[in-house]
Amino acid sequence: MRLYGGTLKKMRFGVHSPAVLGKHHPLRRLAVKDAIALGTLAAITLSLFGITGLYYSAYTRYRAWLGLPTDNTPVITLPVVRRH
Amino acid sequence: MAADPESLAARMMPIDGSADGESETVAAVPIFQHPASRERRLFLMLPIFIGILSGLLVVCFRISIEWLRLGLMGKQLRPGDWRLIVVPTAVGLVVALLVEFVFPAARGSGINQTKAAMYIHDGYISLRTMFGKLICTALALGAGYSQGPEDPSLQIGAAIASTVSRRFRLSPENLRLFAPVGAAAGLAAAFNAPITALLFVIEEVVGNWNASVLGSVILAAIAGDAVSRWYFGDAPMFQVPTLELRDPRELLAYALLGVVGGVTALLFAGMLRQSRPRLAALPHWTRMVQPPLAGLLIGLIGFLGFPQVMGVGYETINQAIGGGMGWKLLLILAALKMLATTLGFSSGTPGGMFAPTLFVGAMLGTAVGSLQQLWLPHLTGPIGSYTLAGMGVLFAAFLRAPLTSVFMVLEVSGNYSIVAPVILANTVAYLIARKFDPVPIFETFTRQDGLDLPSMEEMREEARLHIEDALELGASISEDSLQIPVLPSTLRLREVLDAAAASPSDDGVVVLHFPDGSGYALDGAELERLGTGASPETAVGFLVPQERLPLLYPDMPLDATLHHFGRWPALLIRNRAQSTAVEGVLMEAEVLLCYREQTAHH
Repeated sequence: MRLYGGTLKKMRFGVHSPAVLGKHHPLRRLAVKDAIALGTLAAITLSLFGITGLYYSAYTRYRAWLGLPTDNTPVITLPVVRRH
Repeated sequence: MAADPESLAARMMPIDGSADGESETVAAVPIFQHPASRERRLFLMLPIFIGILSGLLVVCFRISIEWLRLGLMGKQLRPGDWRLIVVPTAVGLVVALLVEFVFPAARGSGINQTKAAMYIHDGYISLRTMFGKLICTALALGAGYSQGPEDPSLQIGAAIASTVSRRFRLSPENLRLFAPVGAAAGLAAAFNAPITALLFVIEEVVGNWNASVLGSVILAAIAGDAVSRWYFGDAPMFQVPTLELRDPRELLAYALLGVVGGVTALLFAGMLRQSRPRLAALPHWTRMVQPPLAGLLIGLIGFLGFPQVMGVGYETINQAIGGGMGWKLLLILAALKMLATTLGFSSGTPGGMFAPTLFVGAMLGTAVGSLQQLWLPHLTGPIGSYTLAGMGVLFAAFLRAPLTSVFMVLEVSGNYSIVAPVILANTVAYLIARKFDPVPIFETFTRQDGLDLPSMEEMREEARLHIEDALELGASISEDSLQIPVLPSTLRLREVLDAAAASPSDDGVVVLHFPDGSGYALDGAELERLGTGASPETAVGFLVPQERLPLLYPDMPLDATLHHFGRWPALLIRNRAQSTAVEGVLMEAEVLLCYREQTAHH
């Protein structure tokens, strides 16, 4: 296949890093590891948000079942009232 | 994660240090280090994750306490209810078994463990310890033990920070610094008070306002608090009516409250100081029975008529703020709370000291306010003002966090109108407590555990020497016999050699003073070396290198001079207002003499 007077194989796509930042350079590996770790951290955070939300709603339902107000009226450790 | 190619190249240098990499004997070995910019970025990014994760766990922790409390004790605590005795005893046994066999590091409040992690274990707190603290404390508080959830929340946050920061393989120094970041997030989520959390961690855990950690602590505290508010709402911790200082003479009552609070803090600390080592010295097997026995006694207090002392007690504080509780009942509750907390804490049951401190302070403050209302009603403002001031007073005197105590009162009440009486009362209480008991309670616990952690109280009281102290000392003892010559840089070499020969220093030290105010200190040997081959008539300023003495001023800490003596034989002390004026010359011997004098004086 000939394009622009040369072969596709000869064409250079993308931006090349300096040689010092080659594919196996520790800095590059570190950046990849950091990205994976941050992604994992974000996933754990979102999962914990979900778990906490489920836990909170289950607790609220329990309060309602006991006939207690469900707006965080304090019993012992939750002395805050959500302002509606 | 971009890298700076120059710094990278510097790290890729051959191990013999030659810049061109043409060493014949040693091949180029890449010496890889994590770039400093990476850690700086992580210090801004990770605290947000740490804050959110800590906040979520603390939310779960608080819900668990509530849930256990409702499930185990019912909707209301009533004297005479058999559950008040049975539940704390049975749960105490479960907690004792868990602490003994599954989570041995879960004992204690959490503050000392966090400090120990920071200063001894490179910031390491295991997830096992965190879950142990969470489960055991939730069980204990849910069953009515008279402790608080804030200190354990602080440790939960620190454990999250430790786990996250380790995953990113930060340097040991930065790993240490991440522990307080998580601690602030946990405390902020538990207290709904980010400023209090920030100040407490800086004042009591870190001990200094290190700018590098400050930004991270703020980010984490805000993130933790935001999560807490997401679930529990944004109302202040206590429902406080409109407060006011009705009459300036009322300040006397607040001063009196400070005195009462200071004495009570001493008493409370004394009870803990005496009972904790005594119970710890009992045979090891008694650790299995101490928590249930403590639970039994705490339950008896509730069973016999005072269930308010059981659990965290914030609802009783809210009742006190609203008024209507007699001063006798308030004083009894304060005394019983101290007893119940001492029993629970000394038995090794996990749980914090914040909530009991606030409870005792609130009861005392309300009692003083009630008495004032009884005797001098025309001079008494709302009772709630005294309740809040009382909380601050105990916080300042018992936990020895005077600055945090003021902001804590303002933040948990959302009310800034009583700041003056709060500052007055807190200061009086803090000074009394510090006068009669120089060692704060958490320092005492640390020493009882055989650890030697830096004391923030001692750091605050430490008298720092300044450069001017060494200059004054040098002038007072040596008159003009040890005056190092300060010579203009335009002086001829032979004149400077003469001055060096006449210098009171054994090495012939002189200081050259340049027209721009900078200086260069050198001894006779260096002077001779520089003058080799030069005409004796040459101005000496042309012979010395471009390097100049560091900029030092009389008000700077004396410590700042020490490392300069590795390079310079003498240091020129300059004037901040007049850059060309010389305040004096400092020698290493004078600095050391100043430290010796200080030690001898103490």
